[in-house]
Amino acid sequence: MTHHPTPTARSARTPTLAAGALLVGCIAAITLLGLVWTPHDSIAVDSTMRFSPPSANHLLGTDQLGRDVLSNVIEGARTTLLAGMLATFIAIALGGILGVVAAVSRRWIDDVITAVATVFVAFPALLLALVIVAARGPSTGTVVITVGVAAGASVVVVTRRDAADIMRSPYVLAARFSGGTTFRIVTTHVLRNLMPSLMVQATSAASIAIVAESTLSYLGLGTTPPTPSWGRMIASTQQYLLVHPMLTLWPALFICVTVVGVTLLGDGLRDRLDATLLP
Amino acid sequence: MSGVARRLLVAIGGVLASSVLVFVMLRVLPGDIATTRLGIDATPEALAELRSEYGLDRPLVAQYADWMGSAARGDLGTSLVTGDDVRGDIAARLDVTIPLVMLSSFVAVALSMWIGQRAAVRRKRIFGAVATTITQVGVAVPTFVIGVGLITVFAVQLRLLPAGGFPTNGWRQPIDALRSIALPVAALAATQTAVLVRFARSQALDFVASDAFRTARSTGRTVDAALSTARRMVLSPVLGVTALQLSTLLTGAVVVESVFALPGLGSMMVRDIANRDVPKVQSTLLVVVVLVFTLRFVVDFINDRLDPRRLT
Repeated sequence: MTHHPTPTARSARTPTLAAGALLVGCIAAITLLGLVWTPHDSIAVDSTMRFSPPSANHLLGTDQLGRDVLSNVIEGARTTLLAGMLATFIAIALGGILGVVAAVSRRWIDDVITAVATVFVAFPALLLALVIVAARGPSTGTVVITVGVAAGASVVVVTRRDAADIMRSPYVLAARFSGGTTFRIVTTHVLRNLMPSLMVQATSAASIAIVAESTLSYLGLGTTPPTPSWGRMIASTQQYLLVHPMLTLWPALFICVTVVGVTLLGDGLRDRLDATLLP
Repeated sequence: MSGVARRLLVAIGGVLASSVLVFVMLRVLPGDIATTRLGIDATPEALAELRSEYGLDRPLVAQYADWMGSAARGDLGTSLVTGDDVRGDIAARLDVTIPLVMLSSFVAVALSMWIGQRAAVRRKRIFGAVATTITQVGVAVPTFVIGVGLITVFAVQLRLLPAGGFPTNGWRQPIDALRSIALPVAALAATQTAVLVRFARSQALDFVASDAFRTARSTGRTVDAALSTARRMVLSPVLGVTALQLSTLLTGAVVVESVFALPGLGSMMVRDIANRDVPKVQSTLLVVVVLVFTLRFVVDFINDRLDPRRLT
């Protein structure tokens, strides 16, 4: 009897993928929980409860204004994850479309798209976001759009290369001979075969976006109060590090879990898809 | 064309392209500098006066030409908020930023060479596995989180180094200055090292699999002695990546200077961005861009000498 690997056996062979999925799953679960329930109002200030240690009422204690740390961490997850997901969506949509267009278009369109993307790739996403914030003022929306566009630039470059490879493959040639138009070839062959590559790039765009959102919020140039944000929690508690280090370390821990999870997920996906599907 | 001339042209072209991008992003996007400065209640006359003072009423192309023309003569304009000369403000802060960036690059290259080569020869032992995992994961952690972690351990718990600030006399107090900059350099070098180790490791792996390595080992050399014959071969791609990573490193410096309250170019820019001092941010970014391409030129110059094949 032939032995078919069960899903668990398969994920054990790619431990990075399983570990990444687990970490990201935990953060996603916390975010979803935060949509319906938090232990306390995250912005409720209580001057009689400043710096209280962890207790049954406040599982992670309270901060310098008497706000519940756990509630802020839970709601901060929403800010970070939402920013990460939206920026990733922009990056993949923009980069995917422009990359495919560059790969199948006339020479000059390809050249223009590639040239613009290359200039943007040379600029780190965080620096671009800083420039835009200087012009437009701090807001989560500005950060999301800028980082989405910046991360989209490298998606354009990679997708253009992958799509051009697919366009040269024998089955596309066969589709052409049987009368398929470019539009039909793109929708039936190219997009489908780009999926694995786009999935891997989505994780790297998400990681860039999460780092950028938390860093800009830390610098006071990202998410504005009263929306809870891990980066701003760290900035506002850093001065109490000597006496109350956990106020700073909880949000720092959550940022680490999120970005490490997304990175492991991406590395695992790449390893898994490399052998079989990536062009 | 000689290698140096070609690299110089690339650097100048890069500065010009980046300056256009910075100008376009700061000036063409919606958001009026004069209204930001004077508030929405300002009279039209006051707005017009400020616009003409900063040349904002002129065509964009003329504004760009003015900006680059003055910058080439060493005039970086005045701050919108304080009215101070931007050039003076920047010059005072390069003392912190340039040593920070150069020390971090140096530490990152040296450390990644050491880790990468050892991870390659010991890839099946604990050191190799741990080094590979830590660098794989470490790439993802934001620089400011690493900085806050270093402060917690080395400044707050062990009390070995200051948690932030810089001596008022600067480098005339060399010991204090070095102590102040030690943790920022470590924070900035950490991410960089994680990036570079991959390249050092894969290059060293290629060498370990080569005939040259086998011959060196069979003539009785130790692993380390055999590896030392390939040092240039490993260093060259690491320096190549370092050159490309300089813009990321400078961006990291912006963050690290803010974490450790260092009086550098980056922390100044964060404050100016918060104040919406667009003309000053614009000129500071130009200096950052020039810094990136100058350092890249230097690193590439050294690299071309290490590996003359790069020039052909």
